[in-house]
Amino acid sequence: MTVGIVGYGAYIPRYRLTTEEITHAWSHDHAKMVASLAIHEKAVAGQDEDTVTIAVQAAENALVRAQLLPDKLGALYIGSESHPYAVKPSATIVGTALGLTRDYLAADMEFACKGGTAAVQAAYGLVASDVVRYALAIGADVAQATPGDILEYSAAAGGAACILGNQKNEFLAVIEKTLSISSDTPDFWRRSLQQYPEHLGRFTAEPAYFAHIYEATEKILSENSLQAKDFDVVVFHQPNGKFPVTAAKKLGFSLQQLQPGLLCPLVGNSYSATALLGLTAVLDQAEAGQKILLISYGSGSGSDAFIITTTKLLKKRQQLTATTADYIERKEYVSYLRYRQMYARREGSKQ
Amino acid sequence: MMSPIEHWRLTQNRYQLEGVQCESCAKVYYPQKFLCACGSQKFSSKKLVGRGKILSFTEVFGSSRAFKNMVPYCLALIELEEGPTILTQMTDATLQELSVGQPVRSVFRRYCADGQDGLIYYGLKFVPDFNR
Amino acid sequence: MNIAVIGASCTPYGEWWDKSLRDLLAQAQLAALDDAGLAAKDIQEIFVANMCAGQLSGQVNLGAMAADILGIHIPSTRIEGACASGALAIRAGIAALESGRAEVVMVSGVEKMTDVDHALATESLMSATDYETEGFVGATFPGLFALVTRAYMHQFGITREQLALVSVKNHKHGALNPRAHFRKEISVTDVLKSSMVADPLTLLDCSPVSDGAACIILSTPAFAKEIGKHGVNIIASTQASDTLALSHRKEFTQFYATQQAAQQAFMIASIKPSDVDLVEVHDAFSMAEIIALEDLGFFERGTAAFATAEGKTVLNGQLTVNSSGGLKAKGHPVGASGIGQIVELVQQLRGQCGVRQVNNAKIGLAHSMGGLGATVAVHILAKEA
Repeated sequence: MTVGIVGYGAYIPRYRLTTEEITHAWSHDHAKMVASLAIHEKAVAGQDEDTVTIAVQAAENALVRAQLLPDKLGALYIGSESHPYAVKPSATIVGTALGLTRDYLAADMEFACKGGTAAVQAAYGLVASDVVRYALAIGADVAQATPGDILEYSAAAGGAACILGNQKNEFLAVIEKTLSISSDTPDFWRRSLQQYPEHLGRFTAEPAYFAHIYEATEKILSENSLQAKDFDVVVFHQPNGKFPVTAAKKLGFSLQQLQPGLLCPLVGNSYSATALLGLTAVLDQAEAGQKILLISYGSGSGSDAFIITTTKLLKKRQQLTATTADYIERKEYVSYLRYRQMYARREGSKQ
Repeated sequence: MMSPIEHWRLTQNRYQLEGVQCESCAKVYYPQKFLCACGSQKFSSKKLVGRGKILSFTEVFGSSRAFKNMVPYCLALIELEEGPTILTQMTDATLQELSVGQPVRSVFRRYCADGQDGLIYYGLKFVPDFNR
Repeated sequence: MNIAVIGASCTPYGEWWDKSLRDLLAQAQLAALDDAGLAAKDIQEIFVANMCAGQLSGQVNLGAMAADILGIHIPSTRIEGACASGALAIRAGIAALESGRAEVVMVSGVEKMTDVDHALATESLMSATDYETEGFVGATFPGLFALVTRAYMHQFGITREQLALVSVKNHKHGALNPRAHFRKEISVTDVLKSSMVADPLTLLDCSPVSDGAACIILSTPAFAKEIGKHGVNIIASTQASDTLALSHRKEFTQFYATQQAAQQAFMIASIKPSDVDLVEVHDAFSMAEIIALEDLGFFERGTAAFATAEGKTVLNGQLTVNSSGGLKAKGHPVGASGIGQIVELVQQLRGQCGVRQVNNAKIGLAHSMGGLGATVAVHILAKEA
C-alpha cells in the first residue's frame, strides 16, 4: 500500500548557546569557527528535558496535525543517540506519556544521526504492509560532545516526529520512495560506557558524510529517472552549516532548494532529529504538490533517502500547532556555565 | 524517597493527569477520591487536559535529596479547567515571568533521577500558555 | 474541663551535637518529675510525641524508650501528628485521665534534627505534606508556606516589611528566654537580607531545625491538691483536621482546622478571645503566626499583620504573642514544640518568667499545627483563682 505522512511535528528546546559563548569559554577564534562551521548558535536542552521529554512534545504536535487519538497508533519507534537508558525503552515511556494503550509495537533505534529516519523506515514497512494502520516515528536527541572539542559547537537538542498511515485521503504528504545505503565506516562512534563520542576529524567528511549522501542521492534519482531540478526542496543531514551546502552544489541543487530545510546555523545538529527537523520545517511552509528530497546521514555509516510529495490537505494542518519556525524563534540565551550545569543536573552528577 | 514501584502505580496520574469523576454528581478530583462530598463511592477515571491558571507560585532554593541539585525551581498552585487544584513545578519560566491568574499548560518533563544508576522520574510540569 | 498541670520543664532548644534523642528525652522527663516533686513510680502512663526519629535516628517505638528512661513498666505510647505531635500527645494524656484509667500522666516530646544534613531534615519535614503529589514535585514545607504567603499578600496587600516584623518581635522575646535556640535580636533589614528560602520567605521568616525535649505532668485536680501542686489547669483541649494536601483546600489563606479547634475550645472554656492574656502560636513561618492569630479569632481576617506592625502582639501589649520567642526564636524541635508551648504558659501563669513575665497572666492559649493546618490542636490554660 502507498504510505504517507498523516501527521508531523517538531520540538526544539528554548535555550540557546552561541558559538561566541563557546569560543570565549575555550579561547578559540570566534571568526574562524563561524567561518568553518557556519553555526551561530545551537539549541540546548533544559535541566529537566531529555530525549524522552523532547520526543513526547514533538509527537504531541504530530498527533495534533494528524487529528488522531493516540490509541490509534499501532507502532512507535524512536531513534536517538542519547536514549536516557541503555536498557529500558524510551519508546514505551513516550507511548505512555502520549496516552497510548498497551497494544502497539515499540522499540528504540540507534544509527547515529539517522536514527530518526531509520525509525521512519521501520514504520514505513509496517504501514505499507498494513500490519498497522498508523505508526509513529520519532528522531530525538540531546546531543553531547567532549567539552572543548569542535563537535561542541554543533551538538544540539531537538526532536521531530512523523506519523505514517496508508489511508490516502489522510495524507499530508506521500512517501513515494525510500532506499538506504549502509556500510561499516569508522568516522564517529561512542562506546557504551562512555559519556562523549569520538570522531576522526577530517575523515568524517569525504569518506563518510559526502560518500554516503552522494551515493544515496544518485541512486534514488537514477532509479526513479529524476534529476535535481525536478525537486522543489532538498533536505540533507546537517552536521554543520557548510556540509549540506557543499553537497547541494556537488549534486546540482541550488541554494533556494536547500534553504527551507537548512536549520543548523540557528539550532545546531540535533543528531537523530536533524534531518527530520529539516523536513518538518519544509512541510510547515510547503504548497500542495511539491516534491521534496530528503537524504539523512548517520555515522557508522549510512544514508536514508526519501522522495516525498505534498498534498492539498497539508495546508489545512500546518498551523494547527507550533511550527518549526515558532520553536526556532522562541529562545533564551544561556551562558556556557549554565549549559554545563544543565547537563550535569540532567545526568545526575555532582556539579 | 522515590520508589520505582510507587511511581509505576501512579503513572497514569503523573503522565496523563488522570483523575476521577464522581458518577453521581460529576465532580472531578485529582488524583483520587474514596468518598465524594455527595456521598457516592463510585468514580470513573478522567484524563484532565492540562490547562489552568496560577493561584499562587514561589521559587524554592533548598530542597530534599532528590531535588537539592535542581534549585532554584518554581512551584505553583494551579486551578485546572475541570475544577481540581494541583501543586506542580513550573518550568521554562523565571519567577519574574509568573503571575497570579496567568494561564498555563502542562508539559512532560523529568522531575528527578535517583542518582546515576536509579530510575528517572518523569511527570507533568507547567509552562506559561502564551496562546491563551 | 479541669486537668491539673503539676510539673513542667523543657531542655534548652538548639543544636546539641553532644546530646542524643535519648539524652534530651531523659533530661526533660527527669526535670519535670523534679518540678512536680514526684518520683518515677508515681507516673501511671506516658505519652511521648515525636515526628522524625524513625527517619533521622532510625528509632521508633519511643513509648518503650520513655518508660525505659524512668525504669518503669507502665503503658507508654508514641504519638505523631507532624508538628502538632506534642499537642496531640497532651490530648491523649488528657483522655487517659478523663477515662479514669490513670490519675497521673507524663506527656513528653522530643526531636533530634541536627545530626543530619539539611536536605534530609527538609525531606523529613516534607513527609507532613501529601507525599505522593506534593513531595513528588519537590514541594518543600517552606515552599508550600511560600505559596500561602504569596496568596495572602496578594489578597490583603501586606508588605514584606510588615511580615518581617513577626520575626523581629519573636526574636525580641527570644532574647529574654534563657532556653531559646536564638537569643539575638534582629531587624527588618536582617530579615529581608537573609538568604531566600522559598520566595518571598527568607531564612529569618522560617523557624529553625532544632534539637530539644519538653515534658509536662498532668493529673486530676484532686491529686494535685493532695500533693500541694495545684495552681494551673488545662480548661480546654480541642483538635480538628483538614485535607493533607494544600491543593485540596478551598482556601489557602486561612486554616479551617484552626478555626474549628479554636471555636470549640472557647466554647468549652466558656471564654472569649478577649479574655486571653497570652498566646503561644505555631509560627513555623512568619506568615503562619499572622494567619493563626486570625483563625484563632484574635484579629479580623487580613489585619493581624497590621496589628503586629502596630506593636499589639509584643510582650505585655494588647495580646502577648509568643513570649517564649515562638518557634522562630525559641526553636522548633518538632515533637517537643507543642509541649514546650504549655511549659511556657504554665511558667507564665505561675509567675516564674522574670524579665519576660506577662503581667497579671490568668488565661493562656496554645495553638499547635501539623502540616499546613492538616492537624491542629488548641489548649487553653487558666490560673486557679
